[in-house]
Amino acid sequence: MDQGSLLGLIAATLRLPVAAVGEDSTMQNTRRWDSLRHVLLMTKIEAAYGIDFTDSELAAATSVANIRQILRDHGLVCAGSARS
Amino acid sequence: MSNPDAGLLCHFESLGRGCEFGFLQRRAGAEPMGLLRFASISLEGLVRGLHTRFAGIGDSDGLVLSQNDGEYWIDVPKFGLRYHTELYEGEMTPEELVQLERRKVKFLAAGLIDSLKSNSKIFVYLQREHVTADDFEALLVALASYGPATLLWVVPSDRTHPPDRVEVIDDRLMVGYLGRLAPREALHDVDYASWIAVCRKAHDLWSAGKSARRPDDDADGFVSEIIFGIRGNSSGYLGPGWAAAEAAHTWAVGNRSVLALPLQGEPGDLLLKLIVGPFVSPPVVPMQRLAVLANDVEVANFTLTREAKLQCLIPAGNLQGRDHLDLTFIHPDAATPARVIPGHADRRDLTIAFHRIVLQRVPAGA
Repeated sequence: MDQGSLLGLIAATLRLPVAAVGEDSTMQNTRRWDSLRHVLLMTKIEAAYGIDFTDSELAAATSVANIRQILRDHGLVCAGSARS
Repeated sequence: MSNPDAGLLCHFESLGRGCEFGFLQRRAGAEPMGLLRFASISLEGLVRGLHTRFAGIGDSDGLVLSQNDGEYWIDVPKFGLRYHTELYEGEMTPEELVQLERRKVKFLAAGLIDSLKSNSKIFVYLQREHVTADDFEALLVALASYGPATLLWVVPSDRTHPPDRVEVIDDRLMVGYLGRLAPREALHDVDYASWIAVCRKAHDLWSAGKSARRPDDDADGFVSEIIFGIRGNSSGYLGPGWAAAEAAHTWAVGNRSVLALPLQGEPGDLLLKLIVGPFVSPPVVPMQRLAVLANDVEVANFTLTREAKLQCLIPAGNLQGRDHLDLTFIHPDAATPARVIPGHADRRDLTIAFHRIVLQRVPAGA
């Protein structure tokens, strides 16, 4: 999964057009990114990358930038080494 | 977050007497996650939850799903908690929704507990009906079990308490007076100006140390304060060696982490205070060592086995001719939870969780 695909996954999960999600997207500025859909999104990212997020990571992943950082912390550099 | 009120309101977290405060945050453009943000919870249930750290909130039999006008609602009977899902029939199966909600409430409860322990927010309780002195005291006792958590108790104004006023009762309690409450049938119709006035005053008092600031933080010698975590102010100071901010702390990772703090003038000797917690998992990882370097000169070293308040002196000689202070933390005992704790998924090289740093001038002659 490449960088664009992460944005696509976020957009699809939130049922938004891909263009509505960018590198600067956050829970604050993105429609429909509420706490329930946040959990749904993180669950889908876990499945896509074959990883498990901790509660702290769930709480921290409130923006595309933070999600990328967390993926890097899992050794997934630039989110490019996902299993699917 | 273009509305400056949004930043202000992210310093507060609702303790859940209805959705009014959540709607206030939404109107300002702030969308922080919170277990009780759009929830109704009985005071008795809240006290029970606080005392038990919301144990079992995500258990498989703990959540009850219902529908009202097509929208799914969740009840958590154990804590008298009820909330909207803002999800309607057909968007996902009930089974999928319950699975997600179980995970959601579990991590949101963990975030609330983290914030309470670190005193990183002001907790808001809006009183809509009579509360007995015993119930009120029970809430204060439950909050006190976390340490110096600060409560903003909000009530409607009256003849003797004009709107927009905030009274400091003690170092853990403030009372705010609102112009009016939102109507029960339209909780989104908040008294925005009055809420903002109350929150701004409460935050100013809290920040200035007139409410919950630790009594050992001498305001006279205050130089700077770095709060770690998502809603802290640390991001502009972080150099290498830090993980992504978490709810109320930031992990130093690897063997070395760096902070760069600006200095103004010649501050003289400085006292550095740290609130930190080590990653330990005995017997494999029994402790974390921490050395502190100020502008490349070691000023202290510690061995940590539990969360601690640390302090050390930074001599003026380390600061002369510098317009900034580079704090380097050496932590040679990094460990990966996934390797030392069976079943743990975290693969970061964790060392020490930083909650808060304060720099103070040392008074002349001290």
